[in-house]
This record gives sequence, C-alpha cells and structure tokens, in this order.
Amino acid sequence: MRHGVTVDLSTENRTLGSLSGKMIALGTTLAVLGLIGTLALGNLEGAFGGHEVESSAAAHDAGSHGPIHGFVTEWSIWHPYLVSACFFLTMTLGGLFFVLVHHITNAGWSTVVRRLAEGVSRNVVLMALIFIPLVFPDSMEALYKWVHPDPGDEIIAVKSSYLNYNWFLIRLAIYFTIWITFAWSYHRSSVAQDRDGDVQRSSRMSRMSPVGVALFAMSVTFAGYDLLMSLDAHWFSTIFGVYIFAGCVLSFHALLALIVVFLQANGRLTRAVSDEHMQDIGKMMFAFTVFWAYIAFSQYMLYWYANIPEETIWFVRRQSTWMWSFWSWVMVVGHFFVPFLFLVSKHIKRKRATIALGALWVLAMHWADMYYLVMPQISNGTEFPFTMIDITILVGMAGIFIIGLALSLRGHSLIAEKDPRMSESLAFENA
Amino acid sequence: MNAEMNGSVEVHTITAETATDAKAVLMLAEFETADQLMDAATSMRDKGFKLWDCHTPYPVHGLDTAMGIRPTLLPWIVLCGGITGFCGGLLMQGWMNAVDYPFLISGKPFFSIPASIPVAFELTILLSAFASFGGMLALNGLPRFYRPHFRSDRFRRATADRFFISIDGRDRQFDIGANSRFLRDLGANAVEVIEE
Repeated sequence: MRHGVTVDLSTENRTLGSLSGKMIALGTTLAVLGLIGTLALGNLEGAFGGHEVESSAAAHDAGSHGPIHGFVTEWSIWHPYLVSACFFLTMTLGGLFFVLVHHITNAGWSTVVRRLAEGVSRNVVLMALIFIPLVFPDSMEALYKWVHPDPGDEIIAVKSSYLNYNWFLIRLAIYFTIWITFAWSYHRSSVAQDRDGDVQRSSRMSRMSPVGVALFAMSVTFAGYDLLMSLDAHWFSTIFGVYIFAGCVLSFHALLALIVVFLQANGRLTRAVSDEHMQDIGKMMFAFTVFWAYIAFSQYMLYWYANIPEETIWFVRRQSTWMWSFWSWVMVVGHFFVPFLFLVSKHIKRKRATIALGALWVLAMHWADMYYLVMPQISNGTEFPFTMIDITILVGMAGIFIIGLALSLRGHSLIAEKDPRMSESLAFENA
Repeated sequence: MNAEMNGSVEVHTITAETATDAKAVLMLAEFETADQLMDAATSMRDKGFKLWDCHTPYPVHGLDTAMGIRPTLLPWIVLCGGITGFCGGLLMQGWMNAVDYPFLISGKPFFSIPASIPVAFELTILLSAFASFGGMLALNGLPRFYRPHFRSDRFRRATADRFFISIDGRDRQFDIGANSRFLRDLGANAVEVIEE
C-alpha cells in the first residue's frame, strides 16, 4: 500500500502553546459575563434572597391540601443551573466513553484525536466542582421533591430507601470517583507514553477498558436516573439512562468536531487530522443522532401505546401547552430530522465549515434536550419558564469549560505521540 | 498460447479454442506492487482510457482517485429505496388499519404515526438494503458468470499477490502494439492479450 502521503508529525504544530492563553482569556470573559448576567438578571427577576424561602414555604402549605406531586413546581435558579451542568457533564462523559471505546476496540482511526478526547474527559473534575452547589440541602430541596415529599405521598415513601439525601450524595460521589479515576489515569498513562513510548501502556489501557466501560454504563445510567429522572420522583423510565448516554456520545462528537476545527483554524494539527478523520467524527454524530432518536422514540411509543396515566404524565406535561408542544416538535425535527438529513452527505462531513455548522446545531439541540428534560416539571408544564438566566448560566459554564479544556490540553502534545497505532491512524482512509 | 514479439515488447496472446474469427477483446497487464499499479492507473487515466479496470487482491486506498472513477450513483438509489420504504410503510398501514379493515384497538386512532413508525422504520431499512444490494449488482452488471479475464492463468494471482490492469477491446484507444509498450513502460512485468 502507498504510504507516501503519510504525515510527518515532526513538522506539525501539535501543542496548544499560546492558544491556551487565548482560550483561558476567552473562557474567563465568558465566565465573568455569565456570572454578572446571572446575578443582574437574577436580581431583576427575584431569583435570590428571601423570595425563595417564602415560596417554598407556600408550596409546603399548598402541598398539604393540593394535589400530591412528585416534582417541585416552583422555579428556582437551580433549574437552569442543572440544565447547563448536565449539558456540560454529558459532553465530558462522552469524551470518557470515546477514550474507553477506543481502547476496548483497539481502534486505529481515532488515535489522532484521542488526546483531545482525553482532555475533554479530564474536565469531569471541573464538573464535580460545578455540581457541588447543587448538592446543598437548599438547592436539592428546590430541585427534587423527594428531599421533602408532600405528607401522604406513598409513592415517594416506597422509594425512600433509594431516593434519600444521604444515599444520593454517596452515589454522586461514587459516580464522580469512577469518572475522575478513569479520565485521569487514561490521560496520565497516555501522556507518559509520549515520553517513554512504552507499548505495554497501550495493552494495559486496553485490558482495563472493559472494566471502565462496564462501570461507565452503570454510573451514567444511574446518574441519569438520579440527576434528571428523579426530578419527577413519581415517574420512571427504564430506558432513561440509555437516553442520557445517547446524548453524551452525540454531544461529545459534536464538541470534538468543533475542537478540531478550532485547533486547525489556529494552525494546530492541520495535517494530522485529515478529512478522513473528520468524516468519521461526522459519521459518529450521524449514528448517534439516529441512536438518540431510536431511544427517544422507543420511550415515547411504549408509553403512548400502554397509555398508563402514571407513565404518560411525563409526556402529557410536555404536550399540553402549545409552547411545550412546540418544544417537543423541536426535538423531533431539530434533534433528529435536521441533523439526519444534513449529515448524510460525505462532503458535508469532510468540509470544516459544514461539519462545524452541524456540530453547533447538534450542541444547541442537546442543550434544548436537557432543557426539555428539566424545565417542564416547573408548574407541571402549564407555563413556559424560559428566562435569560438560562442563557447566562450556559454562557458562564461554557467559559469555565473552555478554561478547563485549555488547562487540560496544555503542557503536552495534542496528539498521542508514540501510540503504536499512530501511523495507522495518520494513514487512515475511508475505503 | 503463443508469444510474439510486438515491436520490442513481448505480448502473450491467449486465443479461445472455440473462436472462429478470433478478435482481441482484452489486454491484461500484470504489476508487482500496489504502488506501481497506482502510478500506472494514474497514467491510464491521464491518457484518456475509458473502458478499463484495475484488479487487486485487496482494497487499495486511493485507487478510485488514481483511476478517475466518478462518484457512484448508488447512494441516490439507496435514498430512493429508503424513502419508498418509509412512505410505503406508512401508506400500507394507513390503508390496512384505517380503510380496508378498521378495527378499534385499545381506543387508539385507526391510523396513528407512533404506532406506524416501527414498521415504516423496518421497511426503510429493508428497502434501503435491497436498493443498495440490487443497485450494486445492476451498476456492476452482475451477476455475470464469465469474463474474458478468466482465460488467463496468470490473472488468477489477482486474488493472491499480483495487481492487474485490464483494457477492454472496445475502448477507443485499444491498440495492442501501442498499449502494450505503454503498459511495459509503466512497469508491467507481463502483458497478455485475450482473443475470442
């Protein structure tokens, strides 16, 4: 076979270098803008201060003679916070999954972009910090009804051995321990290989990856149940964890495409990551667009068919007002049909501008998906609780995420220098 | 089989035993390596040959570009198959459940999108698969049980360790003398002509 076109890595700009300073500056700007925006708008809209205590007390009163809900009906600042936190957490976990799957399958093509995935997955430490404010009793109470259920709520009473504050905290700690351990150890081992070129490191990472994937599957599933599904403690869906997983992998590949386009626009990895690799990243986005739709529809159709009130209520809430109905259609059309038709073409996937456009769209839809999972619980779907805070928190967290990415990717090569599959990956072509 | 000197280039001619009015239908050139084949294919393309092909023991990346093969029509055929399957699936169920034999099942509408999606989805996949398989066969002119290539014993190595270029006798530039010299110059270690 002809390897005359193989990229000579030594002539490639493959460190973040001065770009890390720019990323940190951009990230800081976004984070500060987000924070100021959130504080200013939050004050305008009365999200902080005594108002919250008052309303939760009122909700308690109403709870004793109103309908018994498994979810909180009062808007709080923690709802948009959870939306954005989950948006970035899922993306980060997608990065971890990418690394694990790369090793479990002994993948060749993805070697050139694996370091970027490792960098993204290390952001899970940052996500742990972002989740800390969420686990205080006040914020938990504002989000999850099961922390203080209505009196006489037997459904939550039955689930209380699982859904209770302490066990929730322990579980969350376990999830993050798993994620951080794997993200950091795989990254460390990979960077160490840059220096010593020890092939054994690859074998060891390969051998450990089945354990990693198994733990990843369990932790993501249960994290999805805990963080998002338990927002309505009466409702349940066994496929919910897979739904979250689909979002993780989809959003990560969109992020990966954007990172590559960004780095290449700044002269990094311009030849190492070729059109062929972009096409494969695009293929993964396409595949997980379909996978997400498959899972989302499976969940919908079974509940629609069985038509059992305790199951359908979750969808009824998302279809009974025109705004939420509209949002549901945005999910169907925008999260599936648009990216499906857009990403079918090989040429779209290979051109930087078009794949970046597709990736941005997919990320926007993923955020809309997280919003769709969290927000309709407020007021039982009778209101559309969109505020500018939704955006300001997103911008702020994006800033923090970019800073984390810059810190995570600097100080070593952007490419797994001495990976035994590097030459295979550099020469990779879609047959 | 007889060998003749054609100019300064040796060409093996294989003539079909049953042929009464033997005519050259194919020229085969054997190459040692994929790299030689790639270079040769590029030159063939640049020289403007139309009815010719490459035969390799394994997929050689970049050969399509070297040969100047235009993008295949197949994806569009598959797309049509998929759309037909999807729409056909919905129409079939709509007609069966709501028109031909309406039957009330657990209070659901006679025709509804959610209930129809699984079958429409499966038919999309099925007809896409049929379209891609059938379309591939049709575009390649398959099934075909015989090709002149099979008369050459040397050509059997195309499935093991040799790389071949074949030029169809109907190509406008088909000329035994000129072509065999050209192929030799490109690095072919043997040139054969099939007559039948």
